[in-house]
Amino acid sequence: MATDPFASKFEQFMDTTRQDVRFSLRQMARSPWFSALVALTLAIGIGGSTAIFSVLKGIVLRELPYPEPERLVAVWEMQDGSISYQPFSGPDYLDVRAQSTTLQELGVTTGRWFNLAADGSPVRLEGARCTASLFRVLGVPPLHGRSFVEDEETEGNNHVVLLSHGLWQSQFGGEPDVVGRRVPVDGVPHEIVGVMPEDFEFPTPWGGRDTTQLWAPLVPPHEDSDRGWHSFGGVGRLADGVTLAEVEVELEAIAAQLAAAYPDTNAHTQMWVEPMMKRALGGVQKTMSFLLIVVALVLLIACANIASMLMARGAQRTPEIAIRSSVGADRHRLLRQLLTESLIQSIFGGIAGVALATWGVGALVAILPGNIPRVAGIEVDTPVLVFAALTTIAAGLLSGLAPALFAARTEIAVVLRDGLLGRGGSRGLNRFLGGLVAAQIAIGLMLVNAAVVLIMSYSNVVSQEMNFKTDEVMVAGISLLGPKYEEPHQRRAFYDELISRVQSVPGVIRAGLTGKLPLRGGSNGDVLVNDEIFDPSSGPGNLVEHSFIDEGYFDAMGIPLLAGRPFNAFDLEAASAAAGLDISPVELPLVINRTMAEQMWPGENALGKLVRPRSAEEHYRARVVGIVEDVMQWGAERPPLPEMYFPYTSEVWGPLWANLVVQAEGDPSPLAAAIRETVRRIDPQIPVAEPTTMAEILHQSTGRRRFAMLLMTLFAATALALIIAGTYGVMSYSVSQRTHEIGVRMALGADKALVIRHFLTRSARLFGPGLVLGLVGSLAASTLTRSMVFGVSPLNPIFVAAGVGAMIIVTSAAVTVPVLRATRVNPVEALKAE
Amino acid sequence: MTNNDTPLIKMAGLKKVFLTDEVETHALSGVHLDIQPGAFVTIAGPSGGGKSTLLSIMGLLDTPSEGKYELNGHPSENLSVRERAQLRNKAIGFIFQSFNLIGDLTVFENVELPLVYRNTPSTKRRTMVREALEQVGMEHRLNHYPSQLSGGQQQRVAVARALVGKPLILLADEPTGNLDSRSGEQVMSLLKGLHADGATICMVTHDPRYLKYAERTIHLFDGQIVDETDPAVLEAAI
Repeated sequence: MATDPFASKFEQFMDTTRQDVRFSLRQMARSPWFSALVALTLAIGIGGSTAIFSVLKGIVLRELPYPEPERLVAVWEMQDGSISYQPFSGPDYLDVRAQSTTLQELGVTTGRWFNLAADGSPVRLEGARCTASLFRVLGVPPLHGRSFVEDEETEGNNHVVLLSHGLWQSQFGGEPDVVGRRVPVDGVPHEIVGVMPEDFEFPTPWGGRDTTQLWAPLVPPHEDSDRGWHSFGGVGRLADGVTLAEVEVELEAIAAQLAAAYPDTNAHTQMWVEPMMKRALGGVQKTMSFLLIVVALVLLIACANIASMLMARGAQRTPEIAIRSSVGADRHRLLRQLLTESLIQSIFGGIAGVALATWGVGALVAILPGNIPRVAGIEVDTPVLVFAALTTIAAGLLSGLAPALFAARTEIAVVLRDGLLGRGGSRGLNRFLGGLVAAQIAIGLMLVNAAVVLIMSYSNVVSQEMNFKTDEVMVAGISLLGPKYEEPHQRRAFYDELISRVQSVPGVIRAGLTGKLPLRGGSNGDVLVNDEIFDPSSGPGNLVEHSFIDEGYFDAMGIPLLAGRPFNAFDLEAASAAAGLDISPVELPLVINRTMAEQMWPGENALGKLVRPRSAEEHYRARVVGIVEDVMQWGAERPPLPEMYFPYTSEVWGPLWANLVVQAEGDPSPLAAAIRETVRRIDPQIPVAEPTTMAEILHQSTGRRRFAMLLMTLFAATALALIIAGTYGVMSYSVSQRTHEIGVRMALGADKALVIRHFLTRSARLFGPGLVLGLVGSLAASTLTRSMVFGVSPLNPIFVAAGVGAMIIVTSAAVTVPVLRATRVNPVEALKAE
Repeated sequence: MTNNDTPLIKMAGLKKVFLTDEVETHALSGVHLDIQPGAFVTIAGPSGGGKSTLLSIMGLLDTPSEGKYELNGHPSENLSVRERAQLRNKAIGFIFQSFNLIGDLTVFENVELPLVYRNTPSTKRRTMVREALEQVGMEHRLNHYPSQLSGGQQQRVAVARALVGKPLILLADEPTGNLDSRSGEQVMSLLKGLHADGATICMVTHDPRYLKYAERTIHLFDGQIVDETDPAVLEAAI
């Protein structure tokens, strides 16, 4: 009977593979410590890579969870062709939506707080107002009920809400009949029209994590006078077959048309789009990719380390290889067996690595800063396991190939005759081992340098003078929404009562109010100063941040006054009265920050100067009464921008929501309950956001940098530990191979000092090239890290020197034990071994 | 299949020079040697005389620097490394002084090794290994590891490994060198029996007691064959 040659070959292959696997497992069992060390080393490299990859996959590589996600784009306005994330104005959105043919659909959204009283006890929720079209853009139907319809984008018809899956579960117990129920939202009954699915992600045009729990229809302002107010993030879906460039050409034409029709507001306005995926990542891609490169380098060190160990061990196995060769194993067959062994070891490392990664992913998600988006997709799932498997195979081959090649080149006749490897190992082997150590040191130096630079950057960020108190200040968000607070005097009455009561709480030094908090962003607008006249044809004016505060804010927050005075009760009263009297323009008292004073009136006294909006309509006129120290507005890394503080009672922007600022004697945390209780006593229907400290807000604003710094430091430390182990192993091998040589040297009169010097010189020959390579690598890597540093050069000579010093200390520590062992060689015994 | 008229081993003008740090060592200097199928040849001589080098070249573990070497009529000089390994696997069985068993493999697995590299099916391997071990009287130690055996037993296993592939020639390099005299005699009796059954054997030894087992003894000195002695004369001299 004829046999199938393919089947026969396959059978042979499986047969020999079984034998190789069995032998590998037996060898591992015979050297459990060595096997465990290899597995652990690989587990660190594979586990780290897998954990970071799972984060990268969840955030960066995972598609947006919408049908045809590549067609989703964020749509922005900008001024004078300078790319910026300027939100849409209501009328501009309506015009673009009406005219665009390249966008199949366009919707807008704006985030806001809602007060929901589902079961009578109010809660303050993060939510969004959005147009009905936005849900069509996304293409995700609700789990229950329906989404919004256009009719609901008008005042009076907009008392409907959609619930997130989480809110449905937490506030409504997941009851299926929730659709159609009416619940008080901002004090007004709203009908629940739908519940979104559990895995639904609402787009975050401004970046950050989706924390939206409730949606209500947006009523887009449509008056031409509203064109100057930009507050809506646009999300569009490209028409079938349309490119980004085609959309931008069309938007350019629409913008030009609007500029001609409304020069006062739109003379310099243009529009642009970017893929929603890019926007959704919010700049996190670079950090994650950087960390993946870093962890890949750690894995490389681990592989080099294992290669060193296998080569040193391979030298002891030379007789076995020679015997196999003598009975007919060719080089290919030997390579196959040795690679099978390293793959088996790698698989054990991979399994341990996946276990480590599963734990590590949980730890990573726990320390991920709150503004990192899309964390829900971070998990060890099938694609991550495939990555781990491929990494395991690659690591097995990478760490096993060189040792296998060297082993397969064994000089059979010599080994079989002598029964052991020629003393001192082959020159090629020693050179290769030296090369591996040098490569590890080079990579280690790069990682240490990057870690030092990131640590110093983080230190620079958090040690900046913030110009506000952090540890003693507690803040709590409050939204005065609903019919009871429609009039400014109603809101003022509430706040006056609140401040009065809070200030009497034991432990409170002072209290104040602000519409926005330092580091948390906010709103801004162009202004004219002195006798500047509005000219729509001129370029953009002075962009200034806006804040609305009460008279106690600067004291409560601890912001130093530089000149003039803060607001007083009279200012608040006057602003409030002016709002009620319909005086146009209203002249308001104004406090500005140092940067605004220096930019607008360099070398002059800014007190008494006039400021007004850069618009055809003069909504206000403000006179500077005080100058305060700068505080950073947009996180802890962007320098302070010019800022104006208005009395919150003015109606330039109504303070529907505010932040209560409380300065305490010492730790303010115990005051949280008292603050909540105070608000509840004034109006039980007004919920308070979870009070937090400014220290926590600063902590959150430095979260991404801290995350990158912590992981970088962890990986660099891991790399150093691996390098110590690897260098120790290679030097131990070197010493053991030279026992006879040491004996001869000592017999000839060398003392311990000479032996130490001999081996230290040998070590230096290994480390020197590694350090030089590491410096070159650091220079190359500085282009990557340049954008990640703060207040320090990525190639600061002091830090580079510190990195080199650290590497010298680490490697010296690694060679100390083997070198000391060399000095303990008994020359008589060593020579007997000959 | 071999023809009794054609030498199994044919060496002509074989030289081997080792180069180390610009020093030339002439291990073999023009060796001419023929070994017929079924012969039992010993190679004797002092240490450094080139015995082991000659055996390594004969076993295709090493290559000559000069001269011709034919194994069973196949010239060896143009063989690739892979072809040499394959030929070694099929034509040659090695027995070493230090046994050279692999410590991590059982007796069965050690003996099986040449067949594995020959891709012999496993069922056939089992039969052949058992037969080889029966031949050397070690079939009861199949699952033992080398460390669990005495030196003589280890060498018998090594003989079984050399035999299992039914090679054309057994090359033994001081097979009794690491054994006590009783075990050495047992191994030599084993080789004698194999020869009586038709095996071709070439053995390196410097122990004159074992020269009597061979039909022909070649003396190597400074890399050259200086004498061929009749074993009977040698035995009388001992």
